[in-house]
Amino acid sequence: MILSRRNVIKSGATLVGAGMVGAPLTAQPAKLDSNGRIISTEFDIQDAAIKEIAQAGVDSAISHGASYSDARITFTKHIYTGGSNPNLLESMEIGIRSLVDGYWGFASSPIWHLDEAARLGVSATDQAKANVVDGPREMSLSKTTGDKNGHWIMPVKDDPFKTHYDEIKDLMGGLIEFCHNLKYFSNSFNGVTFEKQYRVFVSSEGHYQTQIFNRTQAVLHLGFMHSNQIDGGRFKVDQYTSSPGGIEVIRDKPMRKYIQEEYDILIESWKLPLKPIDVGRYNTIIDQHGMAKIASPTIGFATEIDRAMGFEANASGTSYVTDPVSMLGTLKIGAPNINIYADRSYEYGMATVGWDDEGVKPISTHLIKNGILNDMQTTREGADWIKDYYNTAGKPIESKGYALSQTAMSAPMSHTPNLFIEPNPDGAKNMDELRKKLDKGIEMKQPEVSLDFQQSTGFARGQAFEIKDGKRVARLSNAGVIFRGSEIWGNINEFGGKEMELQVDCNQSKGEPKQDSFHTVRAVPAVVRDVTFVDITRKA
Amino acid sequence: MNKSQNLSVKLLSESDGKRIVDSALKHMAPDAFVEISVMSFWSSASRWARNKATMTSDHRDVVVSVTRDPNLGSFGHASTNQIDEESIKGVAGIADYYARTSQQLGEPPTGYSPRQYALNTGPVWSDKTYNRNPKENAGLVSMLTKESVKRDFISAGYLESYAGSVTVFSRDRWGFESIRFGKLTQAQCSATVRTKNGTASGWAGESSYEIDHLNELDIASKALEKCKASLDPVRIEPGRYTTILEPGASAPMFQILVSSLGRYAPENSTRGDGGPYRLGFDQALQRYRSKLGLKIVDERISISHDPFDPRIGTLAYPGVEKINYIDKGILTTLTNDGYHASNELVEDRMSVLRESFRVESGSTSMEEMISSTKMGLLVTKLSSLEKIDSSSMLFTGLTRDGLWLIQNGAISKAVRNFRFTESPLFIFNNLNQIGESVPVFNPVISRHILVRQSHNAIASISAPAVKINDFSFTSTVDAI
Repeated sequence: MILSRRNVIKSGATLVGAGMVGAPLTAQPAKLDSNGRIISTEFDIQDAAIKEIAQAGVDSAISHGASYSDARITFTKHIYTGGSNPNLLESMEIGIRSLVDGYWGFASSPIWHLDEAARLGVSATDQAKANVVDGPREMSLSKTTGDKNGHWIMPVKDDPFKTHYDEIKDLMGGLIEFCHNLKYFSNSFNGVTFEKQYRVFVSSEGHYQTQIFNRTQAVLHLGFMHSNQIDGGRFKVDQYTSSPGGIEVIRDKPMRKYIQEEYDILIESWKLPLKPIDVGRYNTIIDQHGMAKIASPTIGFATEIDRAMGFEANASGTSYVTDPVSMLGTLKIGAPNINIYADRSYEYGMATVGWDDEGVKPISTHLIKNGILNDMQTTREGADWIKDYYNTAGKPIESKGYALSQTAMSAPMSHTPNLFIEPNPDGAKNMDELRKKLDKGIEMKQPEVSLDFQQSTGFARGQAFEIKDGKRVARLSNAGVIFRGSEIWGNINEFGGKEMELQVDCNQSKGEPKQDSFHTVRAVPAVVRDVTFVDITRKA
Repeated sequence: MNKSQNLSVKLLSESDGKRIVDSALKHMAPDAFVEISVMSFWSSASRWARNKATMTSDHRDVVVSVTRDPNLGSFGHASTNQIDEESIKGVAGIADYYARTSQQLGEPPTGYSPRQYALNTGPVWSDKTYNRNPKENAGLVSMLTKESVKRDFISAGYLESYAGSVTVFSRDRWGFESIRFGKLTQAQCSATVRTKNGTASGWAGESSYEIDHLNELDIASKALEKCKASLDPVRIEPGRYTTILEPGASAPMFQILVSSLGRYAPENSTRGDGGPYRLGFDQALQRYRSKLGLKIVDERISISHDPFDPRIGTLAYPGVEKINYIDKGILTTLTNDGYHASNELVEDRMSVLRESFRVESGSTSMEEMISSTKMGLLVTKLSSLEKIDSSSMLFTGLTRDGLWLIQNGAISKAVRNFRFTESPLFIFNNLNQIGESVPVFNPVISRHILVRQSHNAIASISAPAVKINDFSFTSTVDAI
């Protein structure tokens, strides 16, 4: 017998005590109507039955000996499409975390059921207890800020999960068709993933928070062939980017205009001579894309409290902030004109939340203040690790809301949030103005950036142009940059103005097993002194 | 309703898998290509850092995945981690819907060759790994960190027991049906030991299907010894050095070599430069030719994939039969994706499963490699690899967690880390010596996420230490 969803929960709830089981709760799987179209399904994450399951996990953990426990429930839907073969992925998860004598245990599974939640609560607590081999240890969880109860929705205008796939296909196909009609078009990559995630958080401290996330991860790369069949270059369409929302993230922007503009710039650049890079140091304009990709690891990853404390030493690496307590307030990251903020409440950020994965309302954090390390990204456990600094500085010891688990299947950890590079209030309003600041130098466009495992030394490569008297005069082949983060941030002559701010999506993988996350960096271009250029194909 | 729907089980059995497949088939028309996979996973993991356990966890998950291709060439795919009737019906319907509405990739294929099915009967299964108690792991973590505590170092690490099962049903265009079941276990352990001031770091790791084959205490001890040996590293000039890559360092270079072994790019004129395995344009055939049959690396290098080989171990999956990629230096196999295979009337070898492989052993011990080196470097691990040029397979990356200078047949001092710029094609043609192949710690796959997007749940590698002539280090880096 298949019970209705609502009855299932109720029967499960009442039968648990008698040692009987009902069927698990399912998240109303996707269905088709008689015309073969996906039926729009509404899913009520605020359903009391779901809370009941999460609470059962927490209660089970506490009654089994945990001093603190929290539960996450997630229902995640993805539609991935490269424009041709679509892919729908749905998954449900429940994870219970338990704290016993200062040690964490965690258990997760795909089954939403009171019995299963209770089993996970016991299992998580047993895992934690197993770690108390050498006696208890001190652990203090900082207080949470904001409402313990509430519901938050990341706004969406055109929900892709309620839209006929033909509309999505036409939208993406139309853009590619437009690109095909550009004279020198050679290839494209048009990948879009629509994500909807429902989340529930319940804790033994009385939290009950529900959230709905609507995100679109979009990337459009276009390649063009020069008339003589030589690779003519490629670019990523900056405005075709990841953002909260649904189909409107792509549809409501004048993408054809953006593509045409970039295309025209590319064709114009073909008229420039192609020169090999002359290895050396140059004053350099790094565009918004490049500054975002540099800020993400050198500031974002580096100021994650767990990374700085060595918790990622065996995985994705540590940080040059090796001793946060003594370095906070003193470590010079860069020039005095550098201010960088972290904020998970920003409306248009990929890392934006109503509450983080420990029930904390995000607090905007001034990470780099006038070029000095000013704060770290804290979690409830991590805030206590630097309490000596906070006490000395007269700052509250608190999590600022940086905990994240990709789904309830994984335990939360600190992940890089949305970052903001403060623009120059009197800065250039466009690239032409910025180029005029350079008599001689190089302009780097859309570089890919990779950092070492301490977020200090990096490597970047992308399109490079020689600048003379404020104008592009040549394309440079095989140009790459080797840098220290401190050199880039320390040698910034000036940032572009607010008019040049651009939203760039960045990602991160950390943990064992790895968890992936996305964040947004709002960046402006910068003029940087003495950047070291190398020929990337040259071996020793 | 069966019990497994109410309380999760560690793994779905063969009969569970068949029941779910039958359930999905009820909701699909009996026409052309269908593939249904039912995967289940369990892992028990312990992480530690700063000499203390940070998290011990138990995960279970399921992925039911349906791929439909009724029109031959326009795939639809859907997956869920729920095994109730409604969810199965949902993914079956959605996969069919997407297949019908998706764009045709090109002309309908001229024919499918029946896929080859491997049946994993258990050489990569260990009851001990599967029945590992988290208490045993936790107790072990305490022992693994004890020496670091005593000597005032800090240790971080990861210890995991993992098991997976898969049931795969497939029906080709001629109605040929097949259903197979496989399962495996995998145990992994690695440790990184650092000084408290972050001036030295050492790493060690191992992997095996059988947890008893891991020597966790030895791993912890090696990481500690490497850290101690890395104290006070000196900065030496970048340049070309005779270089010994330990298995953890050679594995990613072999991985680059293997992950490019697709047939489509080198033989298809529309794909950019055709990649490293393109030979050139054949005027007689009027098409591009690959380097199949030609020697591409040193004759001491042979690389194969075998799902029955317990030294690597992978979930049985359609197309995962034994494949020799490189035999005595000669390129013997380029894999085909399904679409290319169908068009070319060749066998589909599931290109997505290329990342698990075994490099054949040589006979040189690590001690011999070091003692026979007059001047060179010993590398523990590589990190942050990034492609620079696909046709020459040129990569850049960093050394990590242990780099030493060898002088006159002995390790003389620790060295600051380097950035390198090298191609596996170059270094494996400059092979000096090759050692015993061992399973390499490689926890790179986020299984709970990627398995929903790819069939490849595990990337297991067995690789040897190698000594390379003239390895190119291009700059020093600050990171330790």
